[in-house]
Amino acid sequence: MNEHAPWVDAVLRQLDEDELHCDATVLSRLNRARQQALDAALRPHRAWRLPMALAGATAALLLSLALTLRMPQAPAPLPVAESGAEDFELLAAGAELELIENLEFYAWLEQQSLDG
Amino acid sequence: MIALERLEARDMTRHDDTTIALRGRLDHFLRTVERRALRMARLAVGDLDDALELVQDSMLGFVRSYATRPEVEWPPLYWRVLDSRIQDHHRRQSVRRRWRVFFRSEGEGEENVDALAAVADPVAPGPLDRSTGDEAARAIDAALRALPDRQRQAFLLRVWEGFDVAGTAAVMGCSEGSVKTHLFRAMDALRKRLEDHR
Repeated sequence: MNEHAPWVDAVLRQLDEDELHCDATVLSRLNRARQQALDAALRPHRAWRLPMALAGATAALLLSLALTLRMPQAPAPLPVAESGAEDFELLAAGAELELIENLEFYAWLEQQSLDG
Repeated sequence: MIALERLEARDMTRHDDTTIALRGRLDHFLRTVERRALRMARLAVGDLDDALELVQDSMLGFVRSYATRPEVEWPPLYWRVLDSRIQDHHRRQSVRRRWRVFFRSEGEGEENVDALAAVADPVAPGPLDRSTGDEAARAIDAALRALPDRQRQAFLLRVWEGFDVAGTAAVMGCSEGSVKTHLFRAMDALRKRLEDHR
């Protein structure tokens, strides 16, 4: 790309001219922009940053612990499997369930027949 | 304990020295590219303030991400950052335009553009022939601004910055084939605007 058409050379010359003859105000703004970018990006790590980070992490841990301890204790879960199985057996035997519900009645009835 | 503090202080001093040296090298590098970066950004976005903001953003992004990379890698990395900032700017502008169009009532804000003014006159002399000095500069500026973004970037990076095709592709984040296509179209469009009307 060393040999260009004349119009390409003209374009490149113009671009170089623009680069060389930059306005003083623009140059000053560029300088400030460069310094700001360097300041922001290369800001030295302060010695207090690590202790601050550790203190923050500790505070967050303590807060989460305190919240966990203050939560109301959930009731112990019922033995779902066993009670569920028992309930199922009772439901399956509809007649027996009825018998259990009227147990007192049947006991009384039996007593009556014995007395009679 | 005192020995540990001394050791830490010595480490801090060494760290500061390294940072100062790095800052000096970065400052020198950015100083060598900033004017061309501003020219490129201004061609892409038009407004000087927007262009300066883009250059500052690109410097910040470059220093944050690539300051510790070997210095030979800095030029393509810097141009890559600037190119992506320019693309981001165009994306934001395009979203803003869409919303503006969405909320604007029909017919409002339409500009009266003379369509004939945009048509090239094949008999008239080309801008570079009929003009000198400032006029030639304006003609070149207008021709470069009229290019689509990717074509302009391909032209500036390949022809002005002197990257090879692979380097240009790396900076633009596209394939070498795309670079060749963009460059061919850019050269064709520029030639037509600046030379064909002779």
